[in-house]
Amino acid sequence: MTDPVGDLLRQGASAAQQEQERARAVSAVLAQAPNVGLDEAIARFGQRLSQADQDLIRSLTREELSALQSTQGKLGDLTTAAAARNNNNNYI
Amino acid sequence: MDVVVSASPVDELEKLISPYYSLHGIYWRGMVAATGGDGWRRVAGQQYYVMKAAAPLLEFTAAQARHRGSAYDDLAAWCLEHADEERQHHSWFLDDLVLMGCDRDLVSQAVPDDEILDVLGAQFALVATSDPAAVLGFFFALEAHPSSPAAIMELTDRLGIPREALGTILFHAEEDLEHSASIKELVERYGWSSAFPSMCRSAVRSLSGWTRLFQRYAEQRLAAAGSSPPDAPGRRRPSATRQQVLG
Repeated sequence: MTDPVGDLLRQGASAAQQEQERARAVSAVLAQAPNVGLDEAIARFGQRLSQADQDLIRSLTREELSALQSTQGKLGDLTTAAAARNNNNNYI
Repeated sequence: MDVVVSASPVDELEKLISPYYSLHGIYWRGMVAATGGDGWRRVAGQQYYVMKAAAPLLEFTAAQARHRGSAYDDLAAWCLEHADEERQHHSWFLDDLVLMGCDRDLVSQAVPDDEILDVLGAQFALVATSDPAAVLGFFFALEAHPSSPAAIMELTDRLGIPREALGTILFHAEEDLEHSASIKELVERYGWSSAFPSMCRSAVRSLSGWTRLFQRYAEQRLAAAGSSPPDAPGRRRPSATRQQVLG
């Protein structure tokens, strides 16, 4: 017996879970990158991230990685670090 | 979403949404790098709609809270007080957007981008269907970690955004420092109840929606530009095009 409503609910829950896993993976990579390097951190924690996510992380400078260690940095001070970069790279 | 409240609800909420701040942060950075001042203006245009919806959302939440009885009196009172504070901000910000080079009529008459409609719609839905205190997650994500005025000014200087257009944003950055204390008090107050998962959902939907918007803006610019570099940060146009405003 099909359960279309249940399928929809499960799909919604699955999408939210995937998003949470993606966010956690990015967070783990950012947390470990200062210690082991970006490539190693991605290899350990970010292999399931999309290529776009991985490329974006790889383009981070040391200063940006440092700023991203704090929530304030993620939302505020990062803006300064981002603007200070050469603006001509394709990040995504 | 796994939510187990064993420590302070504020700490638990912060811990739960911290990874989403990471995604938000890298895509904000990527969007700014790819789109420069144009992207910043487009995001500001979307912030206008969020500001415009804030007071109605708070009033709706207060009305829903009143139906829940006296346990929600503090939430209802905060919502009404906060709604009064927020009511005119979108008008001020519209003036700022004009100073940034945006077209007043285009901004005020356009429909928010889908990601922002999703963000705002989720808040009304959570308040109506789950718990009025859910709205605290939205305001926690929005106001608990304001950017520093110095960081805002340094970025906008580089992007060619005129200082005189930053009045509302800088006012908010200062004001949010005060607001965050009362928001955290309310999260502590209501976070021990069954409202907590809804608060978390509210905060996550907000951060995720903005992240998707940043990602789309960056991808659109890079697709449009092919392999050519994005606009230099200082480049300004005489007035906003429909594309700039509407995406």
